[in-house]
Amino acid sequence: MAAIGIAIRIGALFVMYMISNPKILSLKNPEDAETLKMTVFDKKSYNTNKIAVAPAESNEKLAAGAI
Amino acid sequence: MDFILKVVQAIFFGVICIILYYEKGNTFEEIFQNNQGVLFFFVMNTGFSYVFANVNIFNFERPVFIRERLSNTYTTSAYYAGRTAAVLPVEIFTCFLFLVIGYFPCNLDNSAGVFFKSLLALELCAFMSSSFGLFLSTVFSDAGVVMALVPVLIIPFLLVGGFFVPLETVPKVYYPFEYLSMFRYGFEGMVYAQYENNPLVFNGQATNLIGTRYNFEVHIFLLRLLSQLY
Repeated sequence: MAAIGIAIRIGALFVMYMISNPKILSLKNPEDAETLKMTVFDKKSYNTNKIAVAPAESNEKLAAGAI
Repeated sequence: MDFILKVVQAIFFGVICIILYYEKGNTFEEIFQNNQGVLFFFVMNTGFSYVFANVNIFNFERPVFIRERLSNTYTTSAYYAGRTAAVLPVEIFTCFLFLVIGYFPCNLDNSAGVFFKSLLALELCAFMSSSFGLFLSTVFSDAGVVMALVPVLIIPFLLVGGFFVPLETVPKVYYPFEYLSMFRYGFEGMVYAQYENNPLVFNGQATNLIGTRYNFEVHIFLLRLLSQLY
């Protein structure tokens, strides 16, 4: 009984590993991937897309007196 | 708060158990049915409670767990170990509380050895049920889907628990459920602990139920070991 319980728990741990794997998650579960977009894509795309674009826009607006 | 709710739940079901099974019964069949009923009620209530409790807990934690895991706050194994360490003592305690409240007034064997063997069987049933609940909650991400599926997945295990149908007559198609049923192993353990050395006595006549009414070998190794030691 304890052995079956432990085996099931090992199965649960394995599934936890699977669901916390970003590649599997973003392919199979779009809803969760959307939730995690910030953390998943932070390291690669945040600097190039968000930081590089956003300050430029705000500088232009600042210069035009919009802000 | 969660701990208090579980304690209240254990007390509530313990009291229900006392109300239902306090009367011993007047005939041999009544006594037998009462004892069998109370033992299966212990197992059934424990099984259902712990499956549902674990299904709910992880589904609420899931988005936070995934987010924190992907930001490398902790590893999956650390989360799993921490969660188990937090939940397991509560489960052990509430299971113990439930049995302490419900066991003694219900005309079962009051000796310490039998009680602790029954407790062992019930704790193992709780452990297996919580494992099953945890597994289901990790497999299905939607709480609503899990809540709808759990009864469907649990009832087959319940039916081959040894109470509703004799295990010898279960068709082969059903064997996987039989061998994975926490209710079956729990009930076997409880019955074995109760009647292994104690025949049911009525009107001065002792009837040994193991081997006559219950034709099964107990599968809990620890219980067999304890029975040989004590």
